[in-house]
Amino acid sequence: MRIEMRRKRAPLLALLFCALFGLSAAFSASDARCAPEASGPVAPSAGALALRGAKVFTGTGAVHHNGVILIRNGKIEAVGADLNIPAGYTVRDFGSATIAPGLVDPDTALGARGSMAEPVTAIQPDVSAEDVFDRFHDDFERALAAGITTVLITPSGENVVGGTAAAVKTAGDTLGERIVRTSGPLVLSVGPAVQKRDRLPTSRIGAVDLLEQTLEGANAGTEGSQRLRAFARGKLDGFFRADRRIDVETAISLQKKYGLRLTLVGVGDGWRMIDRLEAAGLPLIVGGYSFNTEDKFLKVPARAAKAGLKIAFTAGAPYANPAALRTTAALAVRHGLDRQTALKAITGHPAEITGIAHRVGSLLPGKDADLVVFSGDPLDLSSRLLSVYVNGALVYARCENDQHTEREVCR
Amino acid sequence: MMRFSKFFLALLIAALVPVLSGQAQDLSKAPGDKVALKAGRIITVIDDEITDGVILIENGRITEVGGKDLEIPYDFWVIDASDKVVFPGMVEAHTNEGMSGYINRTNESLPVVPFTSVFDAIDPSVLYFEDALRDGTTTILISQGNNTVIGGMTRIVRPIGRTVADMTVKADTGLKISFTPMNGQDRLTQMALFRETFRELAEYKRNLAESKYEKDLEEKKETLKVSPDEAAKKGMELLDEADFDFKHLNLERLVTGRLPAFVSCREPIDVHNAIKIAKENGFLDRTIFVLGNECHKAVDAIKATGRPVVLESRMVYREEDPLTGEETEVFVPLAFYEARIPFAITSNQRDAYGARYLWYQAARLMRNGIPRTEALRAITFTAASMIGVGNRLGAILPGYDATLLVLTGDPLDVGTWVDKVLIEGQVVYEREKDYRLKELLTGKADEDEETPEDEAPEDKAPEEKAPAAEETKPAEGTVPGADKE
Amino acid sequence: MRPFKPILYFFIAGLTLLVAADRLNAADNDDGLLVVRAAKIYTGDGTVLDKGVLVIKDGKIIQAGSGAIDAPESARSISSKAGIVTPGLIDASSLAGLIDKNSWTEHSSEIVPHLSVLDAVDLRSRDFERLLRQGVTTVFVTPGSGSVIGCRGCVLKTAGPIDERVVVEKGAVKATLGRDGYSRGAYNRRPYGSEVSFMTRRPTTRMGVTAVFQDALYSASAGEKASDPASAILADVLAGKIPFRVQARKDNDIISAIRLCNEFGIDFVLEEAIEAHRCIPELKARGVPVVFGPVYAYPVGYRARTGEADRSCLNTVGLLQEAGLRVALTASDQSGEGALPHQATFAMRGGLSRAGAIDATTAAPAEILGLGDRIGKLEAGFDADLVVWNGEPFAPTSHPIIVVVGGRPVYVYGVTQTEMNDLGKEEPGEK
Repeated sequence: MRIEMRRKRAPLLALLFCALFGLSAAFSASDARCAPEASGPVAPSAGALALRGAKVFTGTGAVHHNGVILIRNGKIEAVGADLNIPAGYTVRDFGSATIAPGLVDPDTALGARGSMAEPVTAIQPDVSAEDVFDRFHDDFERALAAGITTVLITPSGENVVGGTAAAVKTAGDTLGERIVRTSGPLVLSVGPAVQKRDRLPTSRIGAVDLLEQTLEGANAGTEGSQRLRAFARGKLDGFFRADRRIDVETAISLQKKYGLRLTLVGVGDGWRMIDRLEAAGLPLIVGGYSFNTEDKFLKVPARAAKAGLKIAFTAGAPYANPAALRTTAALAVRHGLDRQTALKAITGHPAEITGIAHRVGSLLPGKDADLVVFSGDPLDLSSRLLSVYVNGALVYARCENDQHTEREVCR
Repeated sequence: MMRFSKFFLALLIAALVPVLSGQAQDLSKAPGDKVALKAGRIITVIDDEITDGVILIENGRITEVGGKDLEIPYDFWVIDASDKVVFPGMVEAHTNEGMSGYINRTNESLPVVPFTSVFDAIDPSVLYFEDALRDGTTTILISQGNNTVIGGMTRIVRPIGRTVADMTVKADTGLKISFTPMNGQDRLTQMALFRETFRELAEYKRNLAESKYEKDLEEKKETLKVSPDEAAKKGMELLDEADFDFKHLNLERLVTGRLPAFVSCREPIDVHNAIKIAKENGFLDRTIFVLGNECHKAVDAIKATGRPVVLESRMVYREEDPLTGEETEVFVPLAFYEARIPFAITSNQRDAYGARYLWYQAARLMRNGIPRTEALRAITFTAASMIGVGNRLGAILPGYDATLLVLTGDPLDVGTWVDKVLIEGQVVYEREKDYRLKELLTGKADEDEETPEDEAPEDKAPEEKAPAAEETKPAEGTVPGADKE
Repeated sequence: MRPFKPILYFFIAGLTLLVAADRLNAADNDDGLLVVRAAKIYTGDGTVLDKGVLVIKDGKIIQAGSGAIDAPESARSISSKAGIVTPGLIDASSLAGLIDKNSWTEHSSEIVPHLSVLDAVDLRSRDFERLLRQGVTTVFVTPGSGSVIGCRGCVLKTAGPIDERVVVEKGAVKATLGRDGYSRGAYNRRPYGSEVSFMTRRPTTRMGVTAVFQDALYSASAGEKASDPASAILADVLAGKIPFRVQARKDNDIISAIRLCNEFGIDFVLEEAIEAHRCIPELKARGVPVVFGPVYAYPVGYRARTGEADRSCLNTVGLLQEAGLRVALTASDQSGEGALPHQATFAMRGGLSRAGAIDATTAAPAEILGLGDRIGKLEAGFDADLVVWNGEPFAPTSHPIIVVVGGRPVYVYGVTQTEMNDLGKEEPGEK
């Protein structure tokens, strides 16, 4: 916010004004950007906030017209249509805008400093993506600008067992506020990327054998770290990176054998094995799609949903722009996916799949107040992102040039 | 006395001359100028088959072809193949083989080289020619590869002879032109080069005509009174081939319809471009298309030109449907057969083993629905015609070269071997004396008493005779395998 | 699709082939019975049935005979007046379905018999469809040759429901002698050798290869490293519980193979034996079965580059059969016009009889794979895998017109897979 300075004020008074407004700006800025570290994982905005929008998508399928969201201590207190706003709540009326849960991308390398794979050996269950999470990374600005409030930073497919992913928020002042989950899921792969020339495995045969031996030992309790044992006994969830048909088959057979809790990630060959996927019933993470993506891939979400599978989308960041998350959902809708499921695929489903649905992915009482405000339907690509709230604090506001004053105005 | 000995000396020399001239040909037998070939079956490829027939050969040419009743004159040397099948020597309509290894690349690096010729690259000693005799290919058109814009001159050779000149059946049989972009080049540049080349030719010709006219006036001691355009026009009438420099001569012959063009196209778009350029520059009527398998999609355009085609040895075009992932296969020669476009098929020495044999390629045609007559012609008469020697090779007819194969059975039967090869009446290959073949069949390098004939029949169980007979003898006009198609 | 339709009409339009197409896949008449009638049936054990008839039930042959046979009216049937039937062809050394045919070998160790080639095979690969079109119904997918003692091959059917495709999951262990066994050792030499990596190790020569081979087998026989999975497998090989194959191209490598296996008392099958024709007495003395192929006069492709393939013989299969050895013909890495039936064509051209060619592509490979009671013959109790040819099998103008696997017609010439799937929902293989 800026104030117009009238030219004829005395310099001293001007200085006073600047100082006063500077201070207040500093106070409001503390909500949006870096603020001095608070102590402990406490919600930054202890205040009470009420948001109003023409439409509120809760992410469960319910839509509230003239919706109102009450937020207190960074959590959602109530959501409904035309709710009565108690006294003491700061009200922000977004007019004709639509409010939706903050978007969740379940498979990214956003905010990671350095490589997402420790290549020395192919089995690295105790590596954690938490250790590469850099909360000051530029990536998060881009993520926020795309409406993404939570991301999973995932180890890459270069190791057979790559370590655990970390679910983090894209905004928040303290580390405590940012980290949502670090215990999992565990990431696995037997794709071509695991084959190296200077360590085991050098071929798919070696990769599959290594994975099978590892799981066998972990399941029997004789080998492996605690994490691995938990996973091999179905207690810890996992991601299996599988693009090729043959890799999906391996994942499905291992899942059946050990009763693993698995999500299939990538599934590039999904277009020609929907019936197999349906029979296996595992959740899928697919995307990111662009306008260059061939039709046969774009039809997969609709076909998978019809077959009763749970789908989540990913943008494929940072190789693709995080904005591709919405594009992916929109293209899926264009090719037959219903809008409700498409919205869930970028909010509730990724949260459920990654075990963080108790906190994010939908706008229900008790959940974190992570939400996005769009000028229209979020699945409509012509809708503009207006604001983003994380843990109840405004962390992103769209800045535009005001037509009349020709100065930048941030909403 | 002196005159008498001189007389005898002259006689001696005269007597030696035919012997000496006979030595100049690298042939294993010189039976004389008159040969009669008695055959159990004669497959003429054009006319009906003849059973128990006779072919009379004089001075390397077939003079008569007939049945049992054809009398053999007393002074003819008889080759008895009455238990064998005689077939025309097979024709390879377009190959890059026969040039020395990889030391001589098949293509010059410059894009436009009409002044080059395979004459300079053919190596008579390469194994390819030895195998050609063994496999029954007696007429071979050698050409540069497809990695060019305008390549050089092709040549038809026989696989026998110590020098390329000896081997040559017909020289300068066409210019190699490629519409598939050269390596490292795009189609736009390729087409621009064509247009530039012909434009430059026209300009060169114009200048040549103009100066010819001027020179002519000088000689007549007249002065130049007309405009440059007029001078050029008048000069055109005075021009002949001798005036052109080596760089432009072949192009000139091409655009005036005096030289065939072997136009290579890998994709359908190349076909359309080729037709355009050929029409614009007056050589469409002498174009022979050399096609990659995908060009079957341009069958209609090719049909409209009325020109023949040479097909790739692989013959199967595979395509994957981008949406369903389903693979479809097209047997390319069938598309051309159905469109009634004359086609020749080729062999490949570096692919699946069977593809090196022209007869096997013909058997594949039959396997995929093309009638036997067409299949056999695609490796003999049709191929010979389209490359310009259809009046003397590729069929067994009076007047044609006596370039024939004596086969141990039907040409399309798997157990058939080439027993003898005659090239222009001379026996130039005999299986009995083929030690390399013996080695391949027995695995032994020594020249044993064993001949391949000893081994093969033993292995065949008696019950095999009946079906084998089915395959080798056509019954009532039907052909083996054809009625099962 | 366009060019095949005319051929299909050509067939049906009154030449000699009759296919009862609508009775072929009547799903409601499914008492699992199928009757096949043909002009001639080669049963695979040397017998030829004229006007042969096969009765098939639930994927197995229950009767094979000549002339008239009692079969219920409701049975589906394939009748072919001029067609000739053989058992489905078996390729005992195929590369079908491998996802990367350039490197499917695990190079982290020279001794990897505990690994399984099936992990590198995509059962839905297009390769299987193509094999089916050539009449091949069963294949042994052979492990890569880059290891001294490599992994275990698998036996697969080329069509049928996915769950029934794997016949043997972990089959013979394959060892390699000769250049392929030490070719990875090239990494030991500069410029590759300038970096020390886990590839920098022996062997780099034939001597090294045999040393590694012997060492591994000695350890296994002495019970050392018993807990090592590789050693455990080798112990089973020594005990004769797991079959063993050795790839050896040159005559000296073949002799080495015989010598080494004699030393450890292992029976083995010889593979890729290009110079077997030079070692017939030795092979005969030991009774070694041979998997041989492809047939060629001059090597092309990767074989030419190995430098071990220059001395070939066009009649190896014939010569080995004459010596009383069990020989299977294989197409190996060849496809298209180099596929198995065409290999048989050229083996016959080199001197093999038709009966010998049929044996080398059916009963002999079946026995070599240890499945001689189940596939490779058309007799009661055997799997109903068969091919109907439009003429004598392996004639250059012949090709399969119908292929049946497990009692189900899975390929009909001229009909696409989609159309096959629609013809009564008989799926040749899941997509």
